[in-house]
Amino acid sequence: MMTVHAVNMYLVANLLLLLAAVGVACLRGVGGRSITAIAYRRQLQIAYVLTIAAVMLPSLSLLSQREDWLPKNAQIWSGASMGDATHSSRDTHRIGFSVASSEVSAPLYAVRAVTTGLFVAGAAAFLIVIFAEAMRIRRIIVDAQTIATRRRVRVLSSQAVRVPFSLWIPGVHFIVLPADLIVSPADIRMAIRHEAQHHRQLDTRVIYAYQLLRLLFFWNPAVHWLNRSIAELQEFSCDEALIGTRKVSPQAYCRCLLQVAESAVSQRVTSICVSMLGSAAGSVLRRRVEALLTRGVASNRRWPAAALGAVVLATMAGTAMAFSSTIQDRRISPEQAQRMLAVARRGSDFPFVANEPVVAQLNRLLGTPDGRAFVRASLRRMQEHEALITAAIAHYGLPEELMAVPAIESGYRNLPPSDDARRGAGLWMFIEPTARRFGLVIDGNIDERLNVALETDAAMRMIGGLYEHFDDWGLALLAYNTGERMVDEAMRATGSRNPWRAVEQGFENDPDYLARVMAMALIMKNPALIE
Amino acid sequence: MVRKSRVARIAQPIEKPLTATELEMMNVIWRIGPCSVLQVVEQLRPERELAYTSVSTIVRILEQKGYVISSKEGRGHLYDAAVSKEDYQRSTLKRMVTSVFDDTPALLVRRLLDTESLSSDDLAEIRALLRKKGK
Repeated sequence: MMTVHAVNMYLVANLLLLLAAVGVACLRGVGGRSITAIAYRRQLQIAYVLTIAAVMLPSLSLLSQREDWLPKNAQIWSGASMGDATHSSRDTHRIGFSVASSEVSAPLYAVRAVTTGLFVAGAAAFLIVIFAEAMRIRRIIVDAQTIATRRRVRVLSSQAVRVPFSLWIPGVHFIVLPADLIVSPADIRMAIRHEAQHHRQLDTRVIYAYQLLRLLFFWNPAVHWLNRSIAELQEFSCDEALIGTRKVSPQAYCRCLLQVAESAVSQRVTSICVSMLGSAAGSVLRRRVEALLTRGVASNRRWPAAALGAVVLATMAGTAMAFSSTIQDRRISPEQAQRMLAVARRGSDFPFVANEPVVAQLNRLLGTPDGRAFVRASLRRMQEHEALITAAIAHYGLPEELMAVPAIESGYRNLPPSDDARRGAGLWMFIEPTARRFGLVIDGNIDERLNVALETDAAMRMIGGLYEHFDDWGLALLAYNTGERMVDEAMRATGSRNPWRAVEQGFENDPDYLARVMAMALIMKNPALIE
Repeated sequence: MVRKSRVARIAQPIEKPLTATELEMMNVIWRIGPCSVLQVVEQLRPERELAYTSVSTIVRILEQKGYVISSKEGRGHLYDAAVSKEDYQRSTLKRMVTSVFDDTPALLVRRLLDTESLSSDDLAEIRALLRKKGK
């Protein structure tokens, strides 16, 4: 179940990242025009918020959905699930379907394995690329000479670079300058201011988060685009902040940018450091110079940017909700249950029910790999006893839907008695006193509950008697599990002949028993669903 | 960190080749011996107008690369070459032979004779050197 959730979260996150990228594109489109200018700082903030939302929203929406739809874990609470675990877990009355999960169909596994393999291979390749770049940058830093150290900032000079860049590792802020730049103090000051501003804006830290995103979503072009957009916005925002301080004249600043651009003949762009030219080609540089020289003081008002951001966020939240279960286990909706009900009722006057508890049990039995395996195994084992039981049912004139009872009681396993006397034995899980009441012999040598024919005969007499007493199949089945006396008591206490009311009021031995038998009966009438 | 590793860097300074500007500074230091930053600045003028801070930075880089050692002198520092010009020439030539002349020194000499307009004095000196080396 966890993997399905993880895959869903991943798929939704991909979709949301695409939306975030679109949102950032709109933001830049609107905010870049001089009439509706939005400060780059704001644009950058909103871009961050959208990215965080894209990553966080899927988990939130899935968490809420999980509570609504799924029991904490799929467990069946009666003897039915004793299975192979009978002896190891006899202390607890609650036994999960754990052994059955390996029976999920093979093709699904194959697809899953291939997909996982591709994903891991791609991510690993991307990781290697990043690692190689990190090593290259490490080499540059080791070979560089220190020009100045101010608290945690180290300014380095390197012959290996043509463009200034900055890099943060925990505890140290590096600013690396090309060695050639040193002969021009004005440019050096400018470059240091620029890179220091990147450190101040935390760009050099944020970049790690975006590299992680690129790694996790390496195949999603929107993520790479978003990453590049963020890098550009960081540059614009940095330029804007420097010009805003009025210590730097736009003209001198542009000259410095051009100077750096000229000397950067072909320096490769690196991914974990923020370089002065940003990550892209000449067009961005041109736009930066244009923005520096022609853009007036951009509006620093919050609302236009915030409004735009909110619209995108709302769209993302909606998408997250809508697509949160792109991949589902085969969940049974109430409508589907109604269709099953209609099929079951055809040619049968057994009072089938598909109320909420039954739908919940249908989901446990059909919606989880464990449940499906359990149902399949039960039905397979049923074939062995089918002739005998159908004959007994016909002999006593009872409905064939009672075939569902041993499936739930024992999974059609002829279970030996356990140390816990309350648990019963055989296909029908008779407990000792009941077995004796219906004439089965149990002593040191023999336990007739394990004689399928004898126990089945006893069960027919018992169920027939209960139906005669209650004149309602729901009540009779409930009584088979909880005992006649408790059902009588329930009818008196609730003043109703509704077995579901009795269960609701706590007159039960196992709150899911009746619903589970009903669900099993419905599944037996709709065998295609388990194929 | 830089100070501690200075000794190691001096041991193999040639690992880090000089930039053109750094070589300019080194030539001054080799020529005039131990000197202050200001003296270097003055020596470079008038054909090269470099700011005091630039020169100071470059000299400190040279120190980190192991080409220069500094000593406290009054309120300032005096810088002296840690690598002789001959050593630098030698290592530069070695690097050049390896990288440009396919590890074949003869090729270097041939190119030198091909292209350089050598005076008869130069040629005589070269001949004399070869004779000396051949003995």
